[in-house]
Amino acid sequence: MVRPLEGIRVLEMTIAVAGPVAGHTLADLGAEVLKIEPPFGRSRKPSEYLITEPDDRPWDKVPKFNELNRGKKSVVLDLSRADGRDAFLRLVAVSDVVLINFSSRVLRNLDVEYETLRAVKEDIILVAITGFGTSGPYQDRTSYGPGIDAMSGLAYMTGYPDGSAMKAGNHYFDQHAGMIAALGAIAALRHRQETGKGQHVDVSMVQAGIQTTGEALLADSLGAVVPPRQGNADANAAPHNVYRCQGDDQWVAIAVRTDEEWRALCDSMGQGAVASDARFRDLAGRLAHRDELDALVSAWTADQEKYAVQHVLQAAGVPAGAVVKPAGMLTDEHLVARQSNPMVLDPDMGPAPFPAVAWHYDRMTERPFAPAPRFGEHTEEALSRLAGLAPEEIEQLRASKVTSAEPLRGHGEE
Amino acid sequence: MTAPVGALAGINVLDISEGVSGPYCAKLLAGLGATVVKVERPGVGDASRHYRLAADRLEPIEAHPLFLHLNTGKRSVTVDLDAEGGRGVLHDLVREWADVVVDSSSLSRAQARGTDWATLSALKPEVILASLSYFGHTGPYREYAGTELIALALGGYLYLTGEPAREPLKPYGYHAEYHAGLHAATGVAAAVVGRYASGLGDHVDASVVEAATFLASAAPGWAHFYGKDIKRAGNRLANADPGQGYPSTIRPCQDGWVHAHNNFRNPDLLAVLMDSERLQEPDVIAQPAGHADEIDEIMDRWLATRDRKEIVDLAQEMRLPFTEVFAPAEAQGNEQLIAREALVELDHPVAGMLTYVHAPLQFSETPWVAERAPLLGEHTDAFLQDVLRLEDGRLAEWRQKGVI
Repeated sequence: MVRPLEGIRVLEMTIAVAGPVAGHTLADLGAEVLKIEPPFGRSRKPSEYLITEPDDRPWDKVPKFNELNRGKKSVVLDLSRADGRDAFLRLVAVSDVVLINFSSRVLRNLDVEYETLRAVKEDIILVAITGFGTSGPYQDRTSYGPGIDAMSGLAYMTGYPDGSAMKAGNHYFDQHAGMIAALGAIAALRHRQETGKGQHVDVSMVQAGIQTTGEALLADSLGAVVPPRQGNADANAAPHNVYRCQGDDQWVAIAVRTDEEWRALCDSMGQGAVASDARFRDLAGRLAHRDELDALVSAWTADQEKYAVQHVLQAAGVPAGAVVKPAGMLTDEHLVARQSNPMVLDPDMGPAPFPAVAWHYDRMTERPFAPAPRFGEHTEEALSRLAGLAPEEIEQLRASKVTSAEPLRGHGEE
Repeated sequence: MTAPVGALAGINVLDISEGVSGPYCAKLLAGLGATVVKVERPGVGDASRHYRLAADRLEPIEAHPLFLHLNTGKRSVTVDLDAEGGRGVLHDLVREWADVVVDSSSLSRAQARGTDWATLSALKPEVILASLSYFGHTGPYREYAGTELIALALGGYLYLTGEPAREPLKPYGYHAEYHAGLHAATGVAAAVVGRYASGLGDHVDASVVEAATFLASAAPGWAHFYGKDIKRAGNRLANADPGQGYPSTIRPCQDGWVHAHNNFRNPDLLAVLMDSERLQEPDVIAQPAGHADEIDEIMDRWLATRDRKEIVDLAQEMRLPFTEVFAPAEAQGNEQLIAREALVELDHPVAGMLTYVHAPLQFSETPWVAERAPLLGEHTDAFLQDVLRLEDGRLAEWRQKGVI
């Protein structure tokens, strides 16, 4: 099964989420992704180990790490040491893309900036993900994903009508910035195919974030201010909310946009008479009486199973969907059929679910996904086959702890 | 020396999608330098020209903020794909011109309009079709009616947003839709690269519900390995055990809110910033998340007398990753965004001169391309005449029949 990025080699030096997301996306698409891990194993957090017995290589059993690093190879190298840096630059010389998500300050300290890499490989593509970009007055600031939600305007706009600004779940702009970085890498590969030239791709998480609030910025300038923190209300639909169902913290989402959907909802609820109530007859009326409608629908859903409501309403043409809990994401019949969280057989952890990219090819493929590598599993292969080091040179790197077969102790605590 | 062109220069994209996810996909391709022509319904245009941003008003269709934002860098031609003759015009454009088609129809609607993968791949094997639908073109819910809220619910992301004791909360705007558009653009760009070897196009069958599952990321893995559902936790990190780092939360200050985040590897820094002895005591240092309410009280007292800029400047100086909670419009005055290519001024004949969100990333060699969004049908005659080399009178005939 052909993948679009077969034959492309990527060196990835990333921690946290955004960088690993970019790397696994390129791996899903067929690139050979070598994850360069520091010998102290900081990328695999001891607090996230599934087991704690040190004899059983717990660093190879870290669900979140493995999920974000599926399909990659693991090469352990200390880039802050001269020998490690030399081996790394030898790998750069035979690679197509270098993917990094350290802060600008760390990029400078490690001297893995674009001009340095280009001196080793003329057409290298460097993709650097930072919170704010590698230029400008904030270039040395740092932030995690939720802080970027805050800066982008998303948190300001999200919230209950009586509450504070609220972040939208966890890690949102890590995912978005990671995928923007993957898109940037692929676009740069296409440019290289046409022109033979590499380039520096400078990904700013906050710039990725504001793409998704750009309409609110324009609305403000046009005097058409979008009201913030509207809860689950929508100006184009009513009812438009989640409604409590049978069971603990169980909900169904319902969105009624048109008069036709409204009549279908009333029929499904066995409330045909309500459909012709003058207060609710058109969208303007339904928006004005949102609270009454929510009470009406809640009374109907309260003792029903959430999927039963979903199926009845969808059969009648009304947009409705169960509020799926995390475990339910692995059993919902549609998500299972679409393989949105396919199980990958991990040699150390057994079957493990991985969030798949949100598209499927017909001729090519971005699946099946491979499991994450063990710590340092591919160090020897990369150093000998790709970097061209002799066995005794590799042994020397091991002896001087520039590389290691297991995380060196004393530095791994996050 | 020729002027630099975008990374996807020379790729022709026919954007027949509506709403948010498909248009965002095509907007990203336009930003990367592809030539994007948007096909809109005659007289009506993209559905996003008609969305309400607030319950009490409608925006003008030629100056609608959502449309203006999502359709930068595109041209607009009107073709009625539901009218007799419209499908033929579309197929001619695909055959003669398009490398990529971006659609937002469900499978049955795509089949009815002749824009499904079976039809288009038979017409032109090298074409790439991105189908952005709520549920995808396969699977048992494929013909379900969808919206952003429904996709977030079924995708598992809605459950993770909001206060734990209250109902799940929809994130502002169209976040799963934007994310789906980005995934599809990535799938298209990879298919463009893959086409060099195969000579064949491909179908990028993307769904908004799967974009939501992607955003829920580790949640199902947690359920699988630990037998427990992560639950929404307001502004705090979900599923924190008492020993986990804190704060990572949003708190009020003098002029709004800030996102407060300690350096979890050096938690004393927060105590130093806020000059608090309590924050340095061993029980708090050992179990920060277990003391979250108390830490909030201490922070709130310190934050209340300071504004966002002062707080974030002081914290970042100490390498504490604090950020301001900005309203979207505040992007305009932000020195970092101004210093980079993050914003751009564009003039529009109806909306006037406005500041737009620009590049999500900077390339050293290839520019990010942005021109104002098109007026409805602004390029219909010139584009159709140019690409289809029409006989005299054909445009008038089509217009009379309501095809264009």
